[in-house]
Amino acid sequence: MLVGIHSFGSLWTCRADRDDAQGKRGVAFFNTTGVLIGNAVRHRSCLYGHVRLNGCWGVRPENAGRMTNRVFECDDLAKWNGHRKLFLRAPASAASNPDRYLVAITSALVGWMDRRGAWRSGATEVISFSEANNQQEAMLLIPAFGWVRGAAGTFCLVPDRDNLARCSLQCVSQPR
Amino acid sequence: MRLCVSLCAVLIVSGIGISAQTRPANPAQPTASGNPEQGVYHRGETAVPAARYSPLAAQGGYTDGRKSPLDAAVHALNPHDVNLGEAWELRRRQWLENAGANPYFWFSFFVTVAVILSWFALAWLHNDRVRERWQLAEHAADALRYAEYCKHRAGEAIGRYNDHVEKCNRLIEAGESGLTTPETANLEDHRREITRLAADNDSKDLQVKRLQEELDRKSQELTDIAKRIEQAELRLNARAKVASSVDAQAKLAERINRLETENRTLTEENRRLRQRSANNKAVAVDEQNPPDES
Repeated sequence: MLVGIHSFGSLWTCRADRDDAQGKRGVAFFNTTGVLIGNAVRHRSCLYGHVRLNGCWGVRPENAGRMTNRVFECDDLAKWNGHRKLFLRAPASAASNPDRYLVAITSALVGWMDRRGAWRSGATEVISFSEANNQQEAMLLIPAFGWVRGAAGTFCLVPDRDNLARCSLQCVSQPR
Repeated sequence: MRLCVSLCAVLIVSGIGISAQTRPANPAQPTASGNPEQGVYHRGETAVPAARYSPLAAQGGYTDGRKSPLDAAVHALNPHDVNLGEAWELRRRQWLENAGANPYFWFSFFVTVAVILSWFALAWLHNDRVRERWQLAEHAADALRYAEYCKHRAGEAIGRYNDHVEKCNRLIEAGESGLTTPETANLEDHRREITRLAADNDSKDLQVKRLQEELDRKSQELTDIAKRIEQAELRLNARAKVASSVDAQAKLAERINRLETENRTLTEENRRLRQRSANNKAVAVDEQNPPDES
């Protein structure tokens, strides 16, 4: 599956990876959602999951913005022990057409998302969802023209016309 | 089984020992060497001559010295007229006397029979064991097949149970997260479904609009390309016309040159003709007015 990166979640963790077959030791970064509690970003996950990136691709949390608008090869979303995992294996060509987009949205952008209602399109998969302190953040795998509905309206993911690795959220309807 | 085997082994060992006892000390001297102390055979009675009871038969019978074909055949097979029946009877009697009177013979005979019977018993026991093993293998195969069948049915039952538990979990999750399932659908769910469909519709509208824009853009690009192709064709045609006009001018110039050359040639010829005619007139005038001889 090819996944285009639109944005990452707020919480990054790092782990020294186990030795691989060649005896090399790498670093793995895990990204998930979080909300601001006091002065720190906490998990507060209603639904926990993470995205894993290997440090060998030059990923650093402080310059995660460089990884956006790029396409990665990855496996399907794995579910193990209640946790959802997405492993971004290797970068793909920028000209490739991604199947889905990794999008992290917050309640500050789309408004409060009512998880009991229809808040996302059917083909959208939730990787992680954090909710606390009147804040929400969700990390989703959205296909092109998938939508997310919040109190601020319905936002549709529209891929860029010239660069398919780039996408944006457009508000298609305001709440009545 | 072990008891039978040990019994057979004892019988074999005893039989071997006894047969060793009954074996003669010198195998080169058979027991039928004619020693009367050891119970060997005795010569039978002397045969009665045929002339004593049938002198006519002794003289050649009633056939007047002629032999029947059967007699001839028998004579051909037995030319020395050896009495084979007497010899057979003699040997049989000797054997019976030697064997019947020898207790070791009968002991060895029974021991040999016992050994042979023990071999049959062993073969029977072995066959029985083999049959038991085959039956055991068949029963084991049946048990394995039945175990496989039980596992298969257990897997099916576990799958049904897992499906049921999954359905229950979905129902529980639906109660917690508000997901719609046919079991928990109500008015709120239908409203939610309407909301979802409306959002889907908006998304599809946006997608259709986007696709329409792309289609328009492609059409515009196609129109531009068609225009450019048309202009290029026009330019190519104009160049072809210019090229053709240059060719016509060249032909015209060549024709003019050719005509000028012809004109020049004709002018030269005309001038020569005029000069010739003028010369001819002058000669005629000289002939009409000859000069004075003085």
